[in-house]
Amino acid sequence: MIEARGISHTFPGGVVALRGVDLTLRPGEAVALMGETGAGKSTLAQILAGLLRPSVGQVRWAGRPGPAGPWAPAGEGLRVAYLFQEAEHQLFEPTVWEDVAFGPRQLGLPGEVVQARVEEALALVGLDPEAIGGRSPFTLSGGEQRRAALAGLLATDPHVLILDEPTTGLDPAGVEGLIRLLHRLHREGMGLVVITHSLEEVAGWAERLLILHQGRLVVDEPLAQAVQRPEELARWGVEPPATLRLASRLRARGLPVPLGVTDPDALARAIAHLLDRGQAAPPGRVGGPPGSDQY
Amino acid sequence: MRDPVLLQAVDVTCRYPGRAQGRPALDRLSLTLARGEWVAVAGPNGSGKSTLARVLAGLIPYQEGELWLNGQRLTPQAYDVRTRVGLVFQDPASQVVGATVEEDVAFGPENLGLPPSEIRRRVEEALALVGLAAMRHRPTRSLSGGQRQRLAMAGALAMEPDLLILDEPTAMLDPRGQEEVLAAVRRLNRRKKTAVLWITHRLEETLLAHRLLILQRGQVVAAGPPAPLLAGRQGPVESWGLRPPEVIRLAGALRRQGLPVPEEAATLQALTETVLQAWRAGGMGR
Repeated sequence: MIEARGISHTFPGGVVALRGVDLTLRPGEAVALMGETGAGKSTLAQILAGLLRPSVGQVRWAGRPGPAGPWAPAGEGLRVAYLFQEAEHQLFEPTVWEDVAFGPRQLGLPGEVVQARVEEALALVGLDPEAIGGRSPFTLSGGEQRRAALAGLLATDPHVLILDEPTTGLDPAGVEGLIRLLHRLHREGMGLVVITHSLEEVAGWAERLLILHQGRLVVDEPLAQAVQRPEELARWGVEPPATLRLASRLRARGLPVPLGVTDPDALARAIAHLLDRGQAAPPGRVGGPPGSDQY
Repeated sequence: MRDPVLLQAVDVTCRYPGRAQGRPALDRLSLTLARGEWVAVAGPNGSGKSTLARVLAGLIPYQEGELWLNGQRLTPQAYDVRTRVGLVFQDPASQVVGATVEEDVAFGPENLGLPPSEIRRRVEEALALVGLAAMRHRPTRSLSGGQRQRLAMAGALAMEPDLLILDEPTAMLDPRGQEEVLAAVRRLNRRKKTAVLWITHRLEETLLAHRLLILQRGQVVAAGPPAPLLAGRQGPVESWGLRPPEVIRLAGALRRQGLPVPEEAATLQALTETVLQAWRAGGMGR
């Protein structure tokens, strides 16, 4: 559990990044953190990871004044891992294998356990230990570097994993692979905080949605509930997925499509069901004035 | 009649130095771009998209094949196109050289040694096209990501290129920034008829283009109008390592439920109208 109380943060030079944020992350919770560029997302995430001390306010990690850090042995508090947006800054060893092994070695694990953890972590992120393990991390593509850095974090078996825009620069197959991995880590009980601009990427598995706007936490509620108000999401710079926008347009024209459905097939079924049931269209022109359903 | 072809690549092969063995980054790639055309390029990581941008802009040499711009052959040795092909990269932080918006845009034309009145004209036109005219005196460090990318576009446009290449210009932007850049490109392409090559991972952005090219292993494996292409007319999109944009998947899901969604439907407006028409017709029209 991470508890943040009355968090405000001002950077040297006077830029106010956060204003009075209160937040409790429950164990194993999957959280999406959204908002426009400059809203304070990375600042809050780094404070939750214990990488940045807030100017005002207090954070407790499992009741302690600090997280345990990625290489702390079990029983010494909450291990929090952070994947930076520029993941290549997190790679430093001569080979990918050594890089991923760094954390488990710091934990003082025996050699064979380290080996098993490295292989497991590389497999989880979809990197072949044989093909990639011996290479310098700096010869990898951007997407591969991101995955190698993530493997290094996973090898330390964190309680909470915080990721800052992890899909930027990944191709669609890479995005899908990462989403599947996060889904799986969540099912296995890892706490996740994912900064993203794409609601579609997190709609399938995140339980809770946080939206920051100019340093204030303006949305903090179950994601399934928040997606029922696409207009409000758009107001905070969070683009609603096409499914929500279509539902919203159809509702504005009088067709009572259910709210908050983010899966295209589920929405199409719901629409077909309404039409098949012979839900009567109002006589004449359907719906309100043009443009009334835009946002 | 004037030849509508602006750019033609014929069997262009590009290998990076030190990688003589193995697959080249561009492997006998051929493509044609018409004047005023907006062509989107998509493909998985490592498919050669950025190499293509750099070869067309003359930043890296190619080894085999032919490249023609405006009917003139461009050889790797004599590649004098830098003022005729503009290039915008993905990182908003790394492309700004001037202290103010105006100075930044003037940088290129000044280096061409143009007279001050011509520099002023070009700066004004470029800033108007990207929607930054009101911010001309702002310090560049105060700009948002979307504004910086538009500034980079203005800098390229002030060179009055025949072709503007944008290499994942929105990859690092939030939705508002993405929309700003797209709007600027739309305006540029409509008003100024500058040809645009738009490289992107965001397939929903390709729906605005006239044509979409899919790159895989350094070759063009599919090409055509974006919506039918992404709806799978030339084969499953997933087989190219891509995922159809959400609006296309939504169109497919509605089709599978029996709704008569046209193949070229690529906007929410089109899907909305299809559903409403079926509703008015009293069911699914079946």
